[in-house]
Amino acid sequence: MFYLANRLVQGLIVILAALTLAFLMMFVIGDPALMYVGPDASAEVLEAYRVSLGFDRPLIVQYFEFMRSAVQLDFGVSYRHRVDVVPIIGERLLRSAELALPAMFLAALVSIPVGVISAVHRNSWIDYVARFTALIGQAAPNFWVGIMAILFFSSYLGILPSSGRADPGSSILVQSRHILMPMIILSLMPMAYLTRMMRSTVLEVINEDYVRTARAKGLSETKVIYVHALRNALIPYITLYALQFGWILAGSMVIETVFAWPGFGRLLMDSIRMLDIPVVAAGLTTVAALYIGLNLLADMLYTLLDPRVVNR
Amino acid sequence: MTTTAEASQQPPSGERKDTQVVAARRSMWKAALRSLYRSKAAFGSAIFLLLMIFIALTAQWIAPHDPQGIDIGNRMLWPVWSASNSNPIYLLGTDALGRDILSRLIFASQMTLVVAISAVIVSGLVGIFMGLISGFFGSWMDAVIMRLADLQLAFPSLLIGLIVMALIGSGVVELIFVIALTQWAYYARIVRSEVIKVRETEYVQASRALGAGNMRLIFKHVLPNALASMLVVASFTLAIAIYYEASLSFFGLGIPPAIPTWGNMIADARNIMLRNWWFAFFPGLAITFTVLAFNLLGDWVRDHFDVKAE
Repeated sequence: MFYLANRLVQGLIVILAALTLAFLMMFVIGDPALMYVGPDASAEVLEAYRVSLGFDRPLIVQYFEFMRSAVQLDFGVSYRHRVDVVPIIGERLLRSAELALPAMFLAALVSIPVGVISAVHRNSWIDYVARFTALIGQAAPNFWVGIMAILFFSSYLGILPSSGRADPGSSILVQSRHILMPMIILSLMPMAYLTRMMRSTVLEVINEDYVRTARAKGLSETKVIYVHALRNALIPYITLYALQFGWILAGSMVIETVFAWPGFGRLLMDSIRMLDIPVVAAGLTTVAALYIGLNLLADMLYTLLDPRVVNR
Repeated sequence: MTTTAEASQQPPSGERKDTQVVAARRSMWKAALRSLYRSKAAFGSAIFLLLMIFIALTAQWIAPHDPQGIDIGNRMLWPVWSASNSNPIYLLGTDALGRDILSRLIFASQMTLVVAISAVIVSGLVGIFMGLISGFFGSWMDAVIMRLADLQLAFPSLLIGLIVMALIGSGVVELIFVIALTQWAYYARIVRSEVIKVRETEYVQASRALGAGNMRLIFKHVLPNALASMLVVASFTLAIAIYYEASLSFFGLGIPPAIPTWGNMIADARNIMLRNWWFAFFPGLAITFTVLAFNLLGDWVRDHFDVKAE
């Protein structure tokens, strides 16, 4: 319990630090009022805006004001879209989930069996192919894989749409055609990583005493592997799996931009490039909160699944 | 009699000890080289990377064309093995401005390696320094540095990189700084834990009692013991640096577009390629193999020196 509270406090500190960084960002790039009115505005208009937005007050007052509204989930108005930031972020997160959730599901669906088979048939050709593919999957830059896939499947074969999200009113088939390519490419990195992880944990577990015991009892090899070995190998796997969701955040910034998918990652990428600081601030805070939540979840899962671990 | 005999034997035995240490160290490196040679993947990677370094160093002599040389008459040439190639002096074809893809690839390797190696050196030095301060001085300095490290590891590093680059503007030095910013914490943690571990051992307390200072402790005990772990991190940092350089440049926030880098070449190709797949294909392949080689080498260092994953 103390451990959990400790982690929560640490998480809050990280979020406060993220907010402070976001606040500082607003002033690093220059006059924030200028970002609202645009470079062509007259001096009077600029001054009027500055007063109405409160940028004429002392920095420290603005800082506390900013923190106070941020805690109430009010990050102000986007420089670019001229609407409240928080609702946009919520909407975009849902769009991202349409790619990220199936991607993570696919990653598990492939990495668990491939990792197990690779470990059980160690140094067979299956193992070599799986390991080599996973290594390439980890090394190939995802934006490049995305571009090459668009080139091949959309421009050359013409069987899949090259970018964007289907009209929400269209049929499931049309929608999933749009999801398919970015989703698979988004899943490649976590899939490669998790496959290698699965393989090495199964290899470790296979030499444990309880697996030898299971074998000595005369259980079939399938039962030994899939019941006794796999169940124990899944413990570290599940915690790392939770952490890979964090990676998906960074991955979706890249993939959503390449595929023009209107999700959270692309919103964040565009806002960073356009220096739309209110959106970046809210996005950064969202990422920090998600990261901390996932880390906490991973820790809790570990304790839950492995009775030998006791959190202090 | 015996005392003089002992006294006369003193210097040679001392000398022998030194040569033994040197020999032990030499045989350690020899063993490492032998194991590297035996590991097919790691040996192949090492050869590949040496070749890359050679290509980068000799770019101006081995590149067949000027990487910036525009040849409008030979725009968008296909690679030489394709039936559509009309001018075989351009082996891998030309880009939208008629610049030779192969020469650009070769020159781009210079920037890639400069960025990657500098990023490792900067992040390593900063990390070692922070780790030493953290481990030796403890108390609030330790707390501040370690919380900083936690904070930095609490965000996806690509996100930090993108934001900082957007704020400070793109450039080579800026990029190296940003990559170092996202990597120093790993070195700091390794060095800090090594300091704490070593500080309490009897042999270090004995050497302290004999008057050995902090510097001797750092260079004789802490850093040599942390070396293997740091080598593992360094080889992965090299891979990450190449990856980030490419990603950030691709999104227009890395190396300025005028300088050929693999990331910039893919970015150049983005709008115009349609069917000109080779604009982006070869630079991406170069990134993939280089990152792969560094990863494989990192795996080997980890296995060989038996470094536990953190």
